[in-house]
Amino acid sequence: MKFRLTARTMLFLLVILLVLVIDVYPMLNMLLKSVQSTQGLTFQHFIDVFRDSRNIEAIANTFVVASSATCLSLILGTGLAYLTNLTDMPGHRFLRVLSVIPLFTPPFIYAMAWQQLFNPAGYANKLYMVMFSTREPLFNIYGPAGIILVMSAGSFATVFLITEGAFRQMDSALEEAGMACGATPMRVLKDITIPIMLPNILAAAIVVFITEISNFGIPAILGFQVSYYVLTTRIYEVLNEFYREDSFEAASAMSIILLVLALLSLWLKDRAIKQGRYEIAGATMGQQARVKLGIIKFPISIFVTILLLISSVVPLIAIGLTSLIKAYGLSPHFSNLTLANFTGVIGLSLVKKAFANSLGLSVASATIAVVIGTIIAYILTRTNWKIRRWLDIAVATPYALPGTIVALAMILAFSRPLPLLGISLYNTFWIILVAYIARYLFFVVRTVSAAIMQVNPDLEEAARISGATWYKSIRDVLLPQVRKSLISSWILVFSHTISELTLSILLWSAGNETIAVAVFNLQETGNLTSSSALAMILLLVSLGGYLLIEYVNQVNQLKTGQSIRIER
Amino acid sequence: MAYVELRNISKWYQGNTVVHDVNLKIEQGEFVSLLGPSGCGKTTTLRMLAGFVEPTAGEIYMQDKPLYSKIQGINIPPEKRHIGMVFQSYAVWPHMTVFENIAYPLKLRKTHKNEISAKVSEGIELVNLTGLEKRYPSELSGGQQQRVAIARAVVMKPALLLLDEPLSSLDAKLREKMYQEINAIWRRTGITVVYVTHDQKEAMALSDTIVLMKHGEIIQRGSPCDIYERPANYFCADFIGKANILQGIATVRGDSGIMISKDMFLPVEYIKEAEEGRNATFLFRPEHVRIIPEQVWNNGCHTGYSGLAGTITYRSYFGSYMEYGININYKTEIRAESNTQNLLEPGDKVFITIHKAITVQERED
Ligand SMILES: Nc1ncnc2c1ncn2[C@@H]1O[C@H](COP(=O)(O)OP(=O)(O)OP(=O)(O)O)[C@@H](O)[C@H]1O
Ligand SMILES: [Mg+2]
Repeated sequence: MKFRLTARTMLFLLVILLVLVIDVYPMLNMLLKSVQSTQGLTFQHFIDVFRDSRNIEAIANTFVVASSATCLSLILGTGLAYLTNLTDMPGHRFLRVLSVIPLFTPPFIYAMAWQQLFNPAGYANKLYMVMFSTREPLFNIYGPAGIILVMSAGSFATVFLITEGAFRQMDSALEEAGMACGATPMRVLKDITIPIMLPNILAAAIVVFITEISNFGIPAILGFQVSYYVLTTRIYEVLNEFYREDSFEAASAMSIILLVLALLSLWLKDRAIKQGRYEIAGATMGQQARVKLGIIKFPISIFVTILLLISSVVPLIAIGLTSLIKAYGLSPHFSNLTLANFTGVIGLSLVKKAFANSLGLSVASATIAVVIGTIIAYILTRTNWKIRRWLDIAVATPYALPGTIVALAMILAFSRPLPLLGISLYNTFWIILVAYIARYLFFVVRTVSAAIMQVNPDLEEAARISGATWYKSIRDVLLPQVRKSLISSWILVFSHTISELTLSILLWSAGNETIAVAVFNLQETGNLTSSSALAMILLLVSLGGYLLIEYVNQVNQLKTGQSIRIER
Repeated sequence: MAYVELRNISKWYQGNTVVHDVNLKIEQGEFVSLLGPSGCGKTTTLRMLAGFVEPTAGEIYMQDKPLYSKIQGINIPPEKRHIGMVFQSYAVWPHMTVFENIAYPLKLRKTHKNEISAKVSEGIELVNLTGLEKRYPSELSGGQQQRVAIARAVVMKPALLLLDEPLSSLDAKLREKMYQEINAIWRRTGITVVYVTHDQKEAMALSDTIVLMKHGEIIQRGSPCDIYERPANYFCADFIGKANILQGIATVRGDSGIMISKDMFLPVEYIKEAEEGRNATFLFRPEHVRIIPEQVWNNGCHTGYSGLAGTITYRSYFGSYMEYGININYKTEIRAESNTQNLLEPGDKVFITIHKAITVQERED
């Protein structure tokens, strides 16, 4: 293919350059920083990291917390997927809805909610102490046990969804064939069902593990109180130790450790998927035989319902309650309820500013990400440029990696004044914007390229041959076809950024707070009623976003029917 | 200079030659079919004409103007070529109504509203879609979508109309109806057409000229009759219609040659590249084989031609004729067509005579 510098090529190159600047450069720069000293290359920073016992502890804690939460999520998630999909347990539809609620809740808000239930003077503990007239709380949420519990409660839905898909794909004929050979149900489970499911379960485990080692909000809210640190919170801590001269270098060395952990897990996941993806030809569509649980199905159903209510709904009720109560600690009598927290918190000038910031950031990052991401999706799906693979990786990396790393990479990359402009983005609104775009561009690219791939290229060529320029063929033919994906990816980016904490907490500066930062800071200063009120607002906004996506999807399906698609 | 001309056009992908040194002249108003087996480069050639694929070498001219020229560095983009195209997948835009689909090329040409209306109506009438203007493609059948695609391609009166296997996703019955309609549209509009297909029946029924391709090269170019009667080689003969093949020794006698195959003496209408006394390959069509049952042959009513002895191996009924397989000397199988009376059974001994054959170049497998 000969290379012509047309307007289109220029546009593509510009976008690729942008990806280089906001995605690739910060990452590479951070890698370099971690092994750089005034004298040249060095491993000193890593040695220093390992000299400090607090860091070793953080690494160990990360492992303990993440792997325990992964195990717990796996047990809960696969168990639930099994019960709702392969048995005749009543009420599985309702249980499915209950179980995915945590997915729509920002984890730090979730942690706040749990904290209000189970801090030593929390609602649940108080209830327990009153009921059993004791002075000992039922459970103290602060520390590793609480962190593991909240992480699992937030993550098992991920496992549930992944394994549920696998269970559904599973052809019951495969199991029946085993039984026909004379295997007992237990043998079938061990020799057929589990081996076929294993790659999916493994993949789910790794996804959860990465989520947990990347999480900042939960260990921050439940760990700082008792000085329990994991890698992400320790990095935050180190960055805030202003008296240290090498806080950047130390933080980046620690980030590299976290990075290696994440990359290792990603690599494992790739391998698991590649090795064990059993293509089950002609996936079953018909009724799958469900295991009969007999009379115990009702107790099981009730038990699972209660469990899910406690993990998904009760925490949100708790935070809702706190947002409505006059002062945290008062009993939830009707007379103690008020809307003053909402009006009060919205009245705070800091919060007003945070709302304006977050709204501006989210709208801007969603819009820019959709524009750039669509062009990248086009390059990935409609050109044969060799650079496509790298572009794909460059866009996916900031999303796959822990947010803490991305934030740190942004700080390191943009703390120095920009060339030509001579201004530094550090401590401004703009660095948060860049970080948001870098991290969430992936959503747009993934959604839109899937949509473009559904559109037969003949449609655009038909426009070209009708006399449309390249630009018009895109505007008049391709974009209308993928409009739905543009809208939903915009909403997706918006609802993620509006409640984003991990990046914002490291990148904010006075005057540039986001809502999540405001919630977090209010929480840390002990102003629980205000932080809860603000968190409720955030929750409603995120939930609204997801409902809107659902709505867009449905409306679109009704309006345009199927087009004829022929695979090329 | 011809109306459309491809000169030394080649295309290769990563060292893989897909179209090799194609030269083709197309006259104004001509209906040309590109015919060939799957993967022979028909679509690639068509898309080079349209401007979607850039040739690796060569030149393309239309109406004396270059559309593409490697040497001159000219490559007119598809939208400026003023060519209409109908895609195999129809490529009817699902978010536009029938009317909007057909009007789009006119809109891009800044045609006045009233004129668009008039021309679209004309186009809709041309393809018999009157009354469906407001429908969306999802509310149309496959055949109707195809008509929309055709109307959209001709509504702007393009200098050239390209069709890439436009009928291959229709069922047999509808396909036959559609190619009659395409033929009618071509006659009425007088447009120049390049039509890609791998269905020889379609090509025979529609074209002035058939261009036979194989492995990216043009093997033969001629009218359907030309190619059927005088195929350049076994490939052509086999691709257009059915063909039998036998080896023999060439003996030229007068105007027509005579092939003698060991025990057989055969007049051949058309001798090409056959040298006296040399081995040659000759080729004949099933309908030029006459089958004579053994008893009849032995009764001595043969017609003066030599005959070959063989055994019937199979029989297939095609309604208007019967096809027989005949094994000669336990090695060669010959296909023959005969009427549906006096049925023969597999295993019957017969003699065959061949009353029209031609020599071709050696079969190259
Ligand atoms: N973009 C490409 N990259 C590499 N090879 C290609 C590309 N496009 C086509 N080819 C190859 O070129 C050859 C010719 O393809 P083409 O589509 O022109 O065949 P065709 O004659 O239209 O076949 P069919 O009848 O199956 O449509 C094929 O072998 C194909 O694999
Ligand atoms: Mg083709």
